[in-house]
Amino acid sequence: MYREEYYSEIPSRDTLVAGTCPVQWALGVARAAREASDGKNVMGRDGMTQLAQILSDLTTGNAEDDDIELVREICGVITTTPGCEHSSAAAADILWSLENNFMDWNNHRRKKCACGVCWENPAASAAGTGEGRQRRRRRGGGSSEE
Amino acid sequence: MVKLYIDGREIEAVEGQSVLDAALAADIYIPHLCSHPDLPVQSNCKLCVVNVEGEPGVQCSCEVKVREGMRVTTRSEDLMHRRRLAMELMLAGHPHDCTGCKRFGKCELQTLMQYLSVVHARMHHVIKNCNNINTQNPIVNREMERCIQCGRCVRACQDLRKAGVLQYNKKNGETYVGTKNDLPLLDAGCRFCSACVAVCPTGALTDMVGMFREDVPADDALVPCQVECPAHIDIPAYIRAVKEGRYTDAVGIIREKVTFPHTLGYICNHLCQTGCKHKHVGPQSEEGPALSIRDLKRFAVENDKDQTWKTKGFRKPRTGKRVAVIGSGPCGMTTAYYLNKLGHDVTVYEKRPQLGGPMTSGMPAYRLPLEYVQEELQYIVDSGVKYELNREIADVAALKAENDAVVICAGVSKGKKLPIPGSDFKQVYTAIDILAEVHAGQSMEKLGKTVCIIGAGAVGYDCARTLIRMGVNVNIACLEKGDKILADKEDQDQGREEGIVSYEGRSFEAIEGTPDQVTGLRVHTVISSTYDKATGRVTEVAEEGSQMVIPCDSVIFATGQRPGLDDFENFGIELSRGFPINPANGKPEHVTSLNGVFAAGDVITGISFVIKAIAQAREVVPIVDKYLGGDGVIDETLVERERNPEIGEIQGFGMLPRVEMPLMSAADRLANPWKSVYTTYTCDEAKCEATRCLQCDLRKDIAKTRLWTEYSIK
Repeated sequence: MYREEYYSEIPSRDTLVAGTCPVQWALGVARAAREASDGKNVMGRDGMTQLAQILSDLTTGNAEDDDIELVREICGVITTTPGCEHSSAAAADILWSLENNFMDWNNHRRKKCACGVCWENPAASAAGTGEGRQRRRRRGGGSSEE
Repeated sequence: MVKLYIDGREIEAVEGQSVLDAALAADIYIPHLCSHPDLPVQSNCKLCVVNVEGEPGVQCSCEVKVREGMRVTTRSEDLMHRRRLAMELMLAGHPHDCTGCKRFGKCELQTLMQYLSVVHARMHHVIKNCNNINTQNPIVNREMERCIQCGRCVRACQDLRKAGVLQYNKKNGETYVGTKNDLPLLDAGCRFCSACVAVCPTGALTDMVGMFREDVPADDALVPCQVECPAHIDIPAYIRAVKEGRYTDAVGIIREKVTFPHTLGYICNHLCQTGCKHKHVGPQSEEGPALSIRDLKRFAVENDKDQTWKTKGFRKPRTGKRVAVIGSGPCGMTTAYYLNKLGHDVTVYEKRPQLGGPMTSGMPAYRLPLEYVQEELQYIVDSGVKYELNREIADVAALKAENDAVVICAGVSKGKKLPIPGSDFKQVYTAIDILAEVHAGQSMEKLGKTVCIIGAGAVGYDCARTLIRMGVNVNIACLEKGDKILADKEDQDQGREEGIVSYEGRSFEAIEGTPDQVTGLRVHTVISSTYDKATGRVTEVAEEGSQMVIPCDSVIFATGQRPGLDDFENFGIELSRGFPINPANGKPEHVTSLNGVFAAGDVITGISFVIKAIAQAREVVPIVDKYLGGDGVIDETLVERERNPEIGEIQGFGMLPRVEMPLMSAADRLANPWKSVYTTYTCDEAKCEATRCLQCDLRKDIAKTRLWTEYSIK
């Protein structure tokens, strides 16, 4: 049920056609799941927002070396956390895309999109969600006052 | 009870309890953020994840119910990793400037970051665009960029209060806590109960700075009206009782703390209203109007048909101890009332021919109908207090010899005159004497056609408004100007309407005329003045060429009062400037220099208001009772009460106008000179006004969350 909700606007993993950028698709999944979430659950709200943020950075050439691992880590936790079906399914799909298209994903870190989609229209990747405004995460840890 | 094991420790839990609640009750900490003892479980922060033996994966301990023999693991690398990740996700959109946050050092989020060793580092920073929609409002400081959407405030508003103002909103995929249609709180029907602030674990929702006093315990400060009331009456409770039509309960609640509720309903200086948080809400004036607490008290007493409180309260066995109380004003009679209830035989000594002190000899009838005071005095007398009238005590030591204890509540019955030329003239009086003479039915012909009253405090205006009702032309002059004038604004306004001519910001040079005939009061205008409390001196800057004479046939000083104990040759205790003092520190206190002799009320505080005199009595009684061998406990519950946290929805609550008691026109007031100038509320009016109460006391019932540092096992 939840899958239908967010796959109404993007193709499901079974109906993906050749030439679809897997990272762009994952970004669409993250955004759709975030939209479908009731916003109460940290995984659906902040987890999907974070994934969309990272994926947006990947598709616009702003990714950092460990971003793919971070996506894997976040998705791993979300898929096994109880009580968040939308985000759990979405995370599983993103993880599926990552595992099955690792080379494509990895190339995005080097600003290479095999499908030639991401660099041609970077604005589209970041549009609509407020992502991409301040993409670079803080480095060095421990600098937070908390 | 159910037995279970948490990290190998056997604990007992109540059936139906969640694992989280059971662990916390057993002093075992499991990290959590969205859970709150008073709110329904939402399970959205995912910090309280645990493993339950025999069940796959992880569970949210706030959702899992305890079962007999269940084994729960709360600490493992995997669980901590999940918690840290959840925390990092929440922090991705949270500001980093903890030190700039109003809740710095008291923030649950901050302490959890410490517990989980999480910093803002790994995640991509998320900018939230919707958090600060319509955050302006009168009472709650909303820095919604600090909101982590844990939903506690939403549940407090929807489930605990049933007010339904706060909700989760969504815009462009972003979830934020807002109101219906993003309206400002005032327009959204907010009840301003501040439950949302009480449960917020971050600095997103805080009380406006300066909303609460910081010199009293934090829990007490939450109810400003009660804190400001010198007797600390449970005001929200009796306002609620009025709203619900339980008038006798309202009076019972008031009577738990004060002995003259009807009198106070007319003449209290309502410090409670200065504290009322409602004055910050609403568009009617700059600050919005406070609740009419005093008027609701008057309404409650006048509609209390059952008087069920009369059959309740403590009454201790007789002790055989004798106590003498000097003075029958509000302090003396309240002292006598409670000491009698504590079992002591009390006799009140009053120098005047009637009980009541200033309530029956000073306050004009248009402000306080005499019969109401007499009813309340009679209730105290009926409770067993004895009294002797026309009995002035000139030697307290002699009185002490006949009693086990003496309490001096003699008030400040002597008027003061300023030492200006002419103050010893024949037609120069003090306000307190004039008011007493009017009460005694004496003619005021001796004042002539025009008087000039020096001093515009409550007594000055009482005297002015009394005399103008007797056909005397009244001028009132004072050093203070504008807001600094001591009298209530309503006294000033009504006095002006009635024809009193006011001269503000004047300094007094001399009384003109001869010792046998006053012709005027010479004054000049003061640009500024300062009063040195230590020396009692006034330093002023006079306006050049402003000298004038206010023509009058007599002058009345309303410039303060003194106890007058030093008028006696040897009263028997140590005095300082006429006030009894504690020899240990030389200050006027309840303890005096003579063992077993105590003092309370205006005689140690200087002139004050009835409510403060009653509060003084409630302070001294425990001291006297303990001296006599008692426990000193005078607290009593005359009305059992429960607070219903569900206040519900009222559209336009913050905009509800203040309901004023109808005031007679100036012409009617002068035509009916001794009739109360206000008409008591109708039941509907009282209900409307009581409905405006913010019920600040409900916040005290919201459980305080314990931080991880407060648990034994963490």
